[in-house]
Amino acid sequence: MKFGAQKIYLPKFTIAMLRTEGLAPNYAHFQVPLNITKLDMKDYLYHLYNTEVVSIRSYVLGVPRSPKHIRGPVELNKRFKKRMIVELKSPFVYPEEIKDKTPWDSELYDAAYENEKAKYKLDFSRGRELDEGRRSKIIDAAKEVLVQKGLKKTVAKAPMK
Amino acid sequence: MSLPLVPRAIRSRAIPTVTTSSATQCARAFSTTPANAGRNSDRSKLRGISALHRTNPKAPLLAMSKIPLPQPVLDKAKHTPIITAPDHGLWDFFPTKSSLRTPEEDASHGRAWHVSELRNKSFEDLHKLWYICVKERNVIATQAHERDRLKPGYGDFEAQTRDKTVKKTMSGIRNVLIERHHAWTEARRLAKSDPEVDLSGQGRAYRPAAPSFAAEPVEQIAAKEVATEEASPAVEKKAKETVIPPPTPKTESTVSPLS
Repeated sequence: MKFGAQKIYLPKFTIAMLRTEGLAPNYAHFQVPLNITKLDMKDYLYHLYNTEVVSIRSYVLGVPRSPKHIRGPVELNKRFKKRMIVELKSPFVYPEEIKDKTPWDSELYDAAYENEKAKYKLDFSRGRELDEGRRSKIIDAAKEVLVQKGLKKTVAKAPMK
Repeated sequence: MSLPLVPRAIRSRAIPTVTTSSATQCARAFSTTPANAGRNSDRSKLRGISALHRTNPKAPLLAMSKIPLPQPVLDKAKHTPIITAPDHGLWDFFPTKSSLRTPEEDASHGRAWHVSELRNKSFEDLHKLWYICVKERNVIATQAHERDRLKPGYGDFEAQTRDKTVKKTMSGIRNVLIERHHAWTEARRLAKSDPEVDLSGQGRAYRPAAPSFAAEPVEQIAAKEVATEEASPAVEKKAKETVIPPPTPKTESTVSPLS
């Protein structure tokens, strides 16, 4: 196998192996840093994981940006994702999905998540969801006060449609 | 009735005259196309042949239905089961052989290596440790994606703590190696102008003017060392294998002993 002449003794890049449905077992899908090339990838897989590669395809995904008022300074690093699909000489089947989620306290997590969602809704709803006719009751009470004081006529208005 | 004003030449050739009287004359086909139409004067052999429209009167008809096409096996039960080799390199992404490590497993790690501990280690050991750290970070990154997708519950905090520990070890290794590089560069720089140091590569490099520890002068000590090397060839060979002489000034490389 041919590799580059430059020797890198302390490689500093992280790759993640992604689970991809519909991908044949002789293919593997990785997310890689944006500055890594196919040649680097081939080298990396051979020297770190002892896997020989037949071919590599790469693509860059653009991540949609959050709205301007929320956008923070770290966002620039997450604008693009580079992924590579690697054809392996020997097949590798991605391990099966976890079925039993109890080691991760899934019940507690889901309940806490729902609670957080409800709390968020409550905080940002401006009292609309909690109205229960309270606002309209206040309006009616105010009108009655004005009528008693003689500042408002009792003629009922036609409903606006 | 007068004939239309048509030139005499055309009238006689193309248009049948109204004045034909004989009823036995055969009814000629009326056509304005010249008689030599269809016979190309350009002698083009590729005329009329189109790959797009598949017209080629000279090509033989291909009977595709005669060739039996391979039929795909759609029934998954009949597919040959693919077994991953137990020693496949990519299993290093899954140390527990499952797609996710539990939070307990993720949290079962000690503290990061201290710089003071790493200073005692050789380059080979540090190099190996570096690769272990890199591969561990890959495992953590893979599991972060899987957890993001699956959302099984808690586990992010444990994984992030583990990642931070690994990163701290890696930064320690890097700092130790940088320290050594600076020390080497400085030593080299000072040695060039130091009269007590001989960087030629022949014999001992440090030749102090007045050694306080030995009664014999340095040259004699050096000569003795050379004599012992030459005396025993086996010892000499072993010594040669283990001792790497310093580079000569001409062929001196700028690469540090780190590599």
